[in-house]
Amino acid sequence: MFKKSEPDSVRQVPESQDTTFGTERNASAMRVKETATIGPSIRIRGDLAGDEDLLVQGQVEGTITLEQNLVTIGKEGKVNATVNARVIIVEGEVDGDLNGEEQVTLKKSAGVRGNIVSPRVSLEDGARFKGSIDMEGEASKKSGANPKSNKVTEIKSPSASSDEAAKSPRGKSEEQQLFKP
Amino acid sequence: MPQIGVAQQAYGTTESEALTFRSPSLGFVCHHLAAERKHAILDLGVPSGSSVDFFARVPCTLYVEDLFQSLLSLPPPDEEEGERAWDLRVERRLAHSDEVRFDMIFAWDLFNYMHVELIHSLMKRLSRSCRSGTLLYIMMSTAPMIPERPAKIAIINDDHVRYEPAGAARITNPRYTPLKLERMMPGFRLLHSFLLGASLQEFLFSFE
Repeated sequence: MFKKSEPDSVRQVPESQDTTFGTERNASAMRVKETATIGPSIRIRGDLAGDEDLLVQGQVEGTITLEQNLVTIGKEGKVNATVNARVIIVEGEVDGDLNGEEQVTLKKSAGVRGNIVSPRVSLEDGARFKGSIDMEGEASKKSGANPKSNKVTEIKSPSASSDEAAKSPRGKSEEQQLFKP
Repeated sequence: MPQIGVAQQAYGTTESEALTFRSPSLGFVCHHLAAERKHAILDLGVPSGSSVDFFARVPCTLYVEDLFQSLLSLPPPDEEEGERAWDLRVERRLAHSDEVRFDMIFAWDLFNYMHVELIHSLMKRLSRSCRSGTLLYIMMSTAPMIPERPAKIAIINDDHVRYEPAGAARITNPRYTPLKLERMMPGFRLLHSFLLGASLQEFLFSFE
């Protein structure tokens, strides 16, 4: 299902030549450098989580949570999901929230409908976007405001029941409804 | 009484036909937004990278509707859609929640491309998301003909905007006057009006 692409820069040393801690060192290097790829013909419905970078060229519905990693929605990628990651780059289509711990970038080929929450948001001219942008990290640092006092994170469907909202890990009363899908 | 003034003429072009204007209304808006609390800003136009960068300096949530893509590019409703066709379209196409109360709305030059009925329906809907003192920025052309699509408009800094007209094809300008706009937008009152140059004029309205 997932194709692991190994960058050229990562050289795999044969175990026979690895006289000291080579295997462990290699494994560590692989963990840092590896990018999982969801290919154009792959369609996933559900929650994705992990500890490595991800390139989406296929279709994903659900949630993507890679909080320490880079998630790239490639030009062929179609995502109908909430994405939580350290850095998010969008070149394809996204219908859902983008929560970037450090940065969210919409390339000129991107089409996004949803709410973006990240301290840094970059939008290339030509990108299509409909939704809200909350750079509360950066703004709150400058204003000294308490970012939690205005925490804004969730899209709620008008048809979603209050029970569903309560079950949501982010279904707290302090949060505001921002953008209807 | 509304302030009427003449802004500094466009001071340079960076690409063919792209103009940069000094915008006194934008300066007023920046002052208005300088308070400590978090603001809600609505941009009805095409999303612009430099405007997003600009608003990163202000504690705010920026809402982008891109109305040309979602609403203005649709053909006019036919009779079968009924009398409330524009109202229903606006309700369906606007994506922000009813809960939000905006401090600032940027309509840019979009009103040049809207039917009277659409402006009326849009502003009726938006007035539900306004509070007393909400500002509305509009850019209108006084020329008889205008580009066939809205321009790319980006905020450069506290008092300058970059205006890039879309293509060479031209259509007839509806030439809405401030008085006509006020009639179409119950609750909004004209605060400022400035000539920018290149047959463009900016208006700042306030919601009461």
